[in-house]
Amino acid sequence: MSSSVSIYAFLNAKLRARISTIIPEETIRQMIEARSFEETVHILNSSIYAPAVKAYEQTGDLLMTELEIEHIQQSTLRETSRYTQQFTNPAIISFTSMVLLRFDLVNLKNALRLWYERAIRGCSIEEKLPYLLRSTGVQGLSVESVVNAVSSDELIALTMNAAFAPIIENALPLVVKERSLFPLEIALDRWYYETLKSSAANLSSRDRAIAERLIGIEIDAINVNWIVRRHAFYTDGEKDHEATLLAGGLIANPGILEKALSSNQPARQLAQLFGERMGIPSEAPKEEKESHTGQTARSLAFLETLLQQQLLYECRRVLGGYPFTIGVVLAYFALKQQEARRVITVLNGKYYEIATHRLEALL
Amino acid sequence: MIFTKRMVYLTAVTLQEYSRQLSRELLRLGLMHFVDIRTIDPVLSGDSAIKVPKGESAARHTAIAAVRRRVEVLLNVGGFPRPSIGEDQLGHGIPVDKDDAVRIMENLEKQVDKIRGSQRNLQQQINRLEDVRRHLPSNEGNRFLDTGGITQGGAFLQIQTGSIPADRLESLEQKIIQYPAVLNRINEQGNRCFVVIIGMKRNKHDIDQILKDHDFSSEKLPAGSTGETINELDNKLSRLKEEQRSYAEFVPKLVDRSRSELEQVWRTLRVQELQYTIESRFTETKRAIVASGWLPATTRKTVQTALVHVTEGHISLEWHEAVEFQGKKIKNAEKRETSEDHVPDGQIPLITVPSQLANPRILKPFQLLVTNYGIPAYGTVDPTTLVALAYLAMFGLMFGDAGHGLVLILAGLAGLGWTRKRAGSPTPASGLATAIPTLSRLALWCGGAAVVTGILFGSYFGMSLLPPLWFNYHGVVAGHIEAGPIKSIFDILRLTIFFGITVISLGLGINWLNLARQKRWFSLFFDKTGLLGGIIYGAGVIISARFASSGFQTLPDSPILLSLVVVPALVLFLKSPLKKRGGNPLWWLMEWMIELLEIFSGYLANTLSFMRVAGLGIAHVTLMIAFFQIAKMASPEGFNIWAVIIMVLGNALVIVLEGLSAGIQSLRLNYYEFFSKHFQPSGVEYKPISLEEI
Repeated sequence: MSSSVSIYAFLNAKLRARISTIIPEETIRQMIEARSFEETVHILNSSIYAPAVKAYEQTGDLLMTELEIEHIQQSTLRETSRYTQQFTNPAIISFTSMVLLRFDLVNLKNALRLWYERAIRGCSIEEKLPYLLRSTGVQGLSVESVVNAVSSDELIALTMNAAFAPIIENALPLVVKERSLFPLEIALDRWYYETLKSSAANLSSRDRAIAERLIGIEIDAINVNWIVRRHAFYTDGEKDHEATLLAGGLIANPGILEKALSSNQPARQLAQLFGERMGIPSEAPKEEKESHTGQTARSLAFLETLLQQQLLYECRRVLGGYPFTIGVVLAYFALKQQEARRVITVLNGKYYEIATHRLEALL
Repeated sequence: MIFTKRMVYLTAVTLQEYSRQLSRELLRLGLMHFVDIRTIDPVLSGDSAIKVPKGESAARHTAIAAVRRRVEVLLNVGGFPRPSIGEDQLGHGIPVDKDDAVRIMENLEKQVDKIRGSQRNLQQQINRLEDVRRHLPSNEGNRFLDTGGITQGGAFLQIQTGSIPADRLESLEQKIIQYPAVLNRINEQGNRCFVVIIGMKRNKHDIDQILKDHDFSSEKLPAGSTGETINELDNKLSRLKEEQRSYAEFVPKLVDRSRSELEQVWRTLRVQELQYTIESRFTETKRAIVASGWLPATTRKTVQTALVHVTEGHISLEWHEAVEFQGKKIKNAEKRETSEDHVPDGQIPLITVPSQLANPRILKPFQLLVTNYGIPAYGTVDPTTLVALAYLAMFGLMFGDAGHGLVLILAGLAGLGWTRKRAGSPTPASGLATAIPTLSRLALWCGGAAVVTGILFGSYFGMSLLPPLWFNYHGVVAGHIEAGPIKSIFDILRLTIFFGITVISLGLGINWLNLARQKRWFSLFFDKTGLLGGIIYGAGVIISARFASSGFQTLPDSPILLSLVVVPALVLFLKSPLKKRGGNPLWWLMEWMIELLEIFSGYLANTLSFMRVAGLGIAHVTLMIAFFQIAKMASPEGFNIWAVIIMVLGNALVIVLEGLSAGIQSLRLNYYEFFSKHFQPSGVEYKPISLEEI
């Protein structure tokens, strides 16, 4: 049986070297402080995202630039599976593939959103469609076929060979009935995280503990995100939360979240709950009225940002600890995702001329 | 070159009205490493009459730097590198007002924005057409393609053929263009125009409605109409992409039109920015300004003449030798070392004289190896030259092959060629690319060393083409040599140990010189690498050599040698009591024993560590012998193509693998065995503000 050192030695060295090339805070600051969008974009010239600058120069299109950034990010992360296949064991290979599957699911969800817009809501998608990442298919499913599917039955037929086929089959009728894509997105996330957790169960005990911890924070962030979206977009936000929330969060399980949400002051309760468990003082409003849904949504969005920060804190902790674990892979993924997210946020912020302090708050 | 350059400290006091002239002249000279006078002189630190400027210079500096960066971005957008600044920019540059510069910028930025807007619109058209194109078959055979011929991806497409009134064609085209669809006019008969429309099925409803509004009548068209439409789509896409390309190319042209103006603005702003940087380092009184900092002693006269000239004699210059401050620092440092009391950091004047390493340009790669480890403390030996010699000797001994050395030289030249080619690029090099110039120069040096040792060993790509000038390394390793200075692998090992002893002794010698110059007598005597440690090492080396020459049978019985080990070891016991002036004798004993253990084991390990030089040299030769054997096995009846391939690949592998190993191990030996004996990496790099500053 191979030792963790021999399994992770190469991967650890390779990924740490890559982590060191992640765009530093100083560059992000320069991008924020740039006087023009043109300047912001060109700061990326000396980074891994230089092809995105080229894309901007050739098209003048922010969305094309974003598309290129996402493409670069996904291709870079997919290279990790090449390294795991060379030097690790089947459990790690399978787990890494599962982690990478999230990008396919993100692409699929984007395609499903466009399909929903077009087929269910009858809106034009022509302005958005070109900016869909087409580089990969999801389990033999092309993005084109999803977007162009005429009906939900065709969509079900298209996905019948995918591992998540039953999820689509069960959730789509609800999507059509409720005229909301929310049930399908929740079902796909639930399927993904359950599969990811069962894949993590095959790892060694040390790896499993680290993976469960990091996945737990992701689940917390997703639960809060759902709550935020419910509050922001849906009027029936209070009902049936527990059914939608994912189990396995590091900080709060669905039961506790449900209890906090059913109170008169959900945002305050949640902020207190997470704040106490994360050791951070709550910044939620002291007085919260039912009518202040905007305020509640802002508080919850702040909580979401807080959880992202917690994930990064955990990543740094993992990177500072024993080096030969799955933690380095998960930390690399989290840091790279954060990098792309921050770059795209800054680009959008500068493009739409958002004030610096507001932009900083979004990072 | 041997020591860091001698520095002098200057305090220049002049009237406020000469502030600009002074900062400009200091920038032109580019020699002053600025320091805040209050950190140098503890008396002045409490003087309320002396203060930093009100932040105006810093604010102006920030504003100008922001505009300068905008100019830089525009140049970058145009694909032009950052301009260089010459001395002439200081006096004769076109004066550029910041607001004027901003106006130039804004005008250009507006034009660039306009182009970007056009690019965006064009891209949306391209996107729509590409959406259709990706579902159609390739160009080949399209000519005779009809509707039925489109199968690949055709599931998403809707192809309609028919006619519309000729006068409605333009209107139809305007509507259709808003969808991912292509309209092709085939021909005209009477007042009807025959068209093919290829669109996406998902837009069927909208397109059908548009066609209905335009009195479209569905009709079957001749075979090949659809193929023609695909060609038309391809042509249209090509045209749009060409237009997009020309827009993208127009931006650099636009910038190029204003390039000289932009470069001038950039230079002027940069000079102003640097001047404000200098002024922000001044301290001031009510009517005077004070500039203080370090300069190389050799420049004293030049600086004095220049400053007196620009201030028309209204300047007071006070010069101090670095040693005046250095003494103070050592005194404070010793106090801190020996005192048990806590001394707040704020009360200790932080006087650090910057170190300037003055080596010829040719030795820059080795200087980088030194500074990568640390900046030598002021007044100590700059080991760059010695590192160059030691590094190259070690590399040569490990990689002694003239052929392989030649390959390294060629690789170095290729790297330098690439660097020169890239010099005009607007995008700064990143990652490994930033190290290529230095690595290339290092490869040239290492290649040269390998060529020299290769000739000494008579090794050319693993073959003995010419007789060796020193000894036949390959022959020794293969066991063929029975005469000469080096006959066996043990002789090679012995050689490298002697080499190690030389390097370590050199390190000790440098350390003693540094400590004596710094008047750190206690460390000179009692440190592990001090005189006592050195005597123990020297005696140990002689004892070991005699023991080895007796065939590891008997230790030498010389009482002098014995006393050279025992007496310094006993004297070392005094270190703790003398240093701490008190404490527990048991602790002294413990510390003494640990110190002795460290000296004996440390020096032994350091010396034996040099055997790796022999190890890697032997590995280099052995690998080449192995590849020759493999080649021989592949071609038992003479040299064939397989043998050539094996030898080429074998040589390549050895060059890469051994080159890397030898480079790393040479560095390791320098850092851990040589530097650990003498290097004081506590220096601060001499960084004057000059026009060359990036």
